[in-house]
Amino acid sequence: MVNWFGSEKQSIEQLREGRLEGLQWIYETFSQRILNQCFRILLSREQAEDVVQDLFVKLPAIISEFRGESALGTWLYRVAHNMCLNRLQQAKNRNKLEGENVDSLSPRALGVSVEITDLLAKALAVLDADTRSLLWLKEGEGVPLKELMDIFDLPEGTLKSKLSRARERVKEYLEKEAVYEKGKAEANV
Amino acid sequence: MKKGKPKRMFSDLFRDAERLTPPPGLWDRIEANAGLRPSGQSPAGTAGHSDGPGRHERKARLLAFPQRPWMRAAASVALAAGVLAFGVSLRPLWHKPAQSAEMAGIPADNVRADAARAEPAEKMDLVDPDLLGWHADLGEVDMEADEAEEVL
Repeated sequence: MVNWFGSEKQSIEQLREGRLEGLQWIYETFSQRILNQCFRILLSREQAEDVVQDLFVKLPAIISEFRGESALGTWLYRVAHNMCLNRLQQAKNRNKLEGENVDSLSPRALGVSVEITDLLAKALAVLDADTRSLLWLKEGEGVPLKELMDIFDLPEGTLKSKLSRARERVKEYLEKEAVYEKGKAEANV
Repeated sequence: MKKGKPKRMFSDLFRDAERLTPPPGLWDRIEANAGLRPSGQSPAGTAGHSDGPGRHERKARLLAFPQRPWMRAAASVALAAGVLAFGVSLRPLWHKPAQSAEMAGIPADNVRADAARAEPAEKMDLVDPDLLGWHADLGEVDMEADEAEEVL
């Protein structure tokens, strides 16, 4: 995880002292990765930006919960992950109250149009939000397994089998997609 | 379809995935709502910002480093230790020659005899006979000049 010669530690101290510089450094260093993580969970840019804003606005208040047992980035990934799942859960509960039938923690439950802009978004959409987050952090951000264990609070074995199942599901989807694309190309010829 | 294709597709999928960039206005909204003391700086990549975060702060901290109380106390202790060490190194010079000789293992009588022999030479060195003679001549010349004036 990033550590610019103690800048991370210094920024945390500044933030604890209520100084904006600390928040600025953390924002610059981690906001893009957090945004992409949220985007891959929520499949909505608008919602992802909303969570990032919410997280950084709350950060001065919740930084006291960071005990330095893991890297700051790892802790931020966990906070962002939980915030995204909470958002989906709240939306699900709201929809239930409104009489709508929402089976799972789906981005569609947020009431915004899901942005399936690329093949990855399509492939990730076949997974649940929790697994999407896990697979993205592992394959997209290259977060090591040890840090993933901290983020998801899961033992190594469980994490590995969860990742394995997620990969298989995405590959199955890609296989179908490839067959579909091939069929489409042949039809055009 | 070849078996390896989905695997390749899988790795390409994440490698070529679209990466979002935080929009410029996002930091401004965070800054406005975070309720922290403004620093007069904003992060790079947002509108109208160029300096890195905390750069001036780091510089100020570096300059203020020797001004911290514990640093001043440490400097005072180091200075006192240095003065003490210098004093201890000069300590043998404070002793009288006889005591110094005793410390060096030389008999005290030899030292006294050496001192007695050295004393006249020092006196001779202090009073230069030639200089005294010249001074006496000068006095005589002056007296002669005075007498001559009286005559005039």
